[in-house]
Amino acid sequence: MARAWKSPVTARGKAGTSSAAQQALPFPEPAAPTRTLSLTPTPARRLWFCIWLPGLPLEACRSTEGAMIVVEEQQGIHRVLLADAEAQAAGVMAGQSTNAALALLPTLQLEERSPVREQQALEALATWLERFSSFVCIADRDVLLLEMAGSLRLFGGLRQLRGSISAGLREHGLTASLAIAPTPLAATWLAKSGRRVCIRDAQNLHSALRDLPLACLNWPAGLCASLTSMGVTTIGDCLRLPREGFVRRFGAEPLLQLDRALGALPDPRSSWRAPQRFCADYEMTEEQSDRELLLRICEELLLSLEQFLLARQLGAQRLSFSFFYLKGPATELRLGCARADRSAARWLELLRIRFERLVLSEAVIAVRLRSGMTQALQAESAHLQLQDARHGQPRRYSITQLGERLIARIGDQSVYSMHTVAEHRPQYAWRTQNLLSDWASSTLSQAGRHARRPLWMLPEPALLPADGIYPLHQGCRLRLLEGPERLETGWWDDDGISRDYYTAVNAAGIRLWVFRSRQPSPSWYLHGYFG
Amino acid sequence: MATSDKRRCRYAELHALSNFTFLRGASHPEELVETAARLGYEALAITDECSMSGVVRAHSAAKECGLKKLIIGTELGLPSGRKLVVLAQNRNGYAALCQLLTNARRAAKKGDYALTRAAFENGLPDCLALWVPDRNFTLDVEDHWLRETFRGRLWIAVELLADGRQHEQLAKLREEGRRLRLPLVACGDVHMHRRSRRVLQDAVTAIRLGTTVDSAGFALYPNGERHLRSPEVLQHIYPPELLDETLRIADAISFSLDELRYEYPDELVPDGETPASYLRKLTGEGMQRRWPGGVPGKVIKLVEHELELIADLGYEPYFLTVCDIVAYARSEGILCQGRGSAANSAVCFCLGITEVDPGRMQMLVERFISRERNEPPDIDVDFEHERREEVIQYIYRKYGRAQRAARCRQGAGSQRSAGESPCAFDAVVGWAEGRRQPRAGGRPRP
Repeated sequence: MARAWKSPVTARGKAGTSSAAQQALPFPEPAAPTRTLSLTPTPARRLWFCIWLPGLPLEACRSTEGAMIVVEEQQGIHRVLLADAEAQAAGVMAGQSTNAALALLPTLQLEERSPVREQQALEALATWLERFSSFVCIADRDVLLLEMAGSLRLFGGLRQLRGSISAGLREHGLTASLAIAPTPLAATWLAKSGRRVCIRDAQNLHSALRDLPLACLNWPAGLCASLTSMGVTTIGDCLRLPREGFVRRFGAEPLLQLDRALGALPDPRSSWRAPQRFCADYEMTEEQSDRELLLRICEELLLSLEQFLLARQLGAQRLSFSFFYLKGPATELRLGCARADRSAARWLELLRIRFERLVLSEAVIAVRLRSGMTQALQAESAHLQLQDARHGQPRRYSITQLGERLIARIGDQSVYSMHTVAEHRPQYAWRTQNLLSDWASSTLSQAGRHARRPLWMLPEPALLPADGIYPLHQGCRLRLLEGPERLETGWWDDDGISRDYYTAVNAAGIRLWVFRSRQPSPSWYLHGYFG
Repeated sequence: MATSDKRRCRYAELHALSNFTFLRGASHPEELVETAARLGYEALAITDECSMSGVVRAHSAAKECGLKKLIIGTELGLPSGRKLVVLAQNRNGYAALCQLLTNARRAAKKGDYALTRAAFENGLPDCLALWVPDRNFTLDVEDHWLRETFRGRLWIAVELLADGRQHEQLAKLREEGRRLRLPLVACGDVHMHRRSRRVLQDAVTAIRLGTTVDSAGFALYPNGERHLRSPEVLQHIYPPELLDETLRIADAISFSLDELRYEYPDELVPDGETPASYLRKLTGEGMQRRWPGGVPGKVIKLVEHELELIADLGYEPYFLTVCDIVAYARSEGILCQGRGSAANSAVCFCLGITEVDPGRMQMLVERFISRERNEPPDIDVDFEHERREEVIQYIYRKYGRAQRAARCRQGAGSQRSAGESPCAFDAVVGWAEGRRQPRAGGRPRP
């Protein structure tokens, strides 16, 4: 309920200019407290972010500098599938035979297309993208989809999010075409059309898709050819054709696809899940026996392991490195750690010690890093960076260190942590606890179970003026959203309560926690603010 | 205005626990019944957890204070964690329900009960079921099973108890009801007859958990909404169709404890005889045995008077049962002797239960059995203490351990009389259908 109410307000607040948007916010008359509150939740909005990687066959294989092409065998002849910019400058084009390309540029590097490497690159990218969305989907051999309606708020809006993803793609060395639309198919087609568009509203889908050429649609070539010969070249043309006739001639599937793209039909996708064990290879172009270089490669693998574990809030307790030679069995190096960890720096430290004594029988051609079973790792509080007055050097304190230092300075009677308590009365539902004993015992009680409690609670409830039976806040009537939550307990001490709590929203859209005392002459109080 | 309101909103509470659900319910069944009658409830269901213990008291109270309808049911916790309220629709359903409770209690340690799906195999005929979803219910195969077991007799109980998420809960349950095609009904999860009983409710909760009220935390209920709320209040909380559904369910139930009597085993009476004629026959035979030379007229008159009384009050099977037990003891050579007020009975003397000759004594029959008292007679029989167990085992064999109607009270009695009579065994005591009664007294309950 809270979500359904929240999202339209933020959407409005972001879209409009400040004051106009504020006034435009719809605030119906306050409902009587006893009346049933009718809140119709808006259907969950989806926003799909499509990443199309047209250059993937080339970029997945690139290992060295210099002009390069990817070739694929078509009907017994090797033809150019993709050529990089340097090769293109020399006149090499897709579709040419390999010989023709070599004649144009004799220094050209040739690579056979490798679907395995493309899939690996795609999965690596999908794994990386999981930090932005809980729903990543590998839609095609060169298309990735992210559902990101739920991520916008967390990543500071659409522009920010798109910026981060674009930057990440560049870092991965991938050229991509991006598009955003409310349906996955529309996003895919828009990305393939190469237009950098962002459609947030399903109503605008039709006009955005209308002009797309049929080539973006991934329809069978025969179908496209027949349609083109009829003078139908865009999606808009297709939609103008009578449906019955279209289905009779070309089958139902193309039209169903159009309906899905326009959001008229649901288009469920399955989410991609990264494997829970890490395994990555580093292949070298030539054999290496330089131990420093090998160590750097290991470090790189450890860094990607760290990223992998971080994205899943996991840690690993065992790792194994394999050093492959051109001939003979690989050399294994196993590392273990007392506590599950994911820090690359720590693992590297351990590796250095072991690596010094490791005997490599030959020069190494590839390194593989595999993790053992991973386990959930509790996230730790970030460190606080403080300027040390004497040394002028910034120092980083963990929460533990900071607590210890504070206790040393001002005494353990003055430093507390906060805990939740299993208690219905809000004023007793939390307590302070001595920091030292707290760490020693670390007994966290179950938090407020089902009840919704505001993040910021007032030390004492503040009396609210009332207009008849309605509470007022800053001169405006409050609108009651949820409630009542009746709390009448605590009769055993002098602090028993008998109150009806409500979630209310004020004119500025801020959610408040208010209550009405259950007394012969009830009055309203403000008790907290929701985040 | 107020009276017309009262007439308009009608409600029947279908889920109420009395203090016979130990350490959960906080009000006596009588209190619940009286309050429901005062608030104008159309019906009240007493649904103690896997127990029928409170219903007799509720029944008497309901008659006294004029409650329109008392419904008999029980609350059951299924092994999957589901909570179910089952209501007996008629006599047949009551019997099925009692059987289920007996089996569930016998399958577990004392004070506990264990239910399996197998227990529901017969589908609990003539019972209605209300499924009480907990807050975070998830739907799985269990729902399918429940729906199959109670096809057309299953409701989703909606209990809105001012926990701040009522609207959410109602919407969710409505959605589930549509999906599973189950009707919704309003219920109150009543634990007490009025709000102020919350204090006691909190206290018993703490006792149950072996803690104190201030450290019981979320185990206590946040408020006192689990009381019998007035229909006027309820109409602001529940949609009208949910309240109306309670009446529909109440109307579908036509069972009263008045329909119950103890059914004596058929074997007591040979074919072709009624209990009355058989008792008369046995008494006649006994008279011939006691007075082979001719029965004194005084005795015949006494016996006639007693038999008439017994027939009027319908106690023949009870006399036959005692006679049967004594006959068994005699046949096994176990010493036994009736005592107490039964010594005033000529019939008991003829049947060989007592040894006080009515021909030579002034009998006070009314001390033993009387119309005015409207209370079954009490026949105490002492058995030889060393062989008492044989008699008990005979009773178990004949009357069945499962429907052990006769209950043997051996505790305080035998100690008290240890000096004078080493073999005290109060022969015949409380009856119930399918299940033990609470210790309500040492008499048959017609």
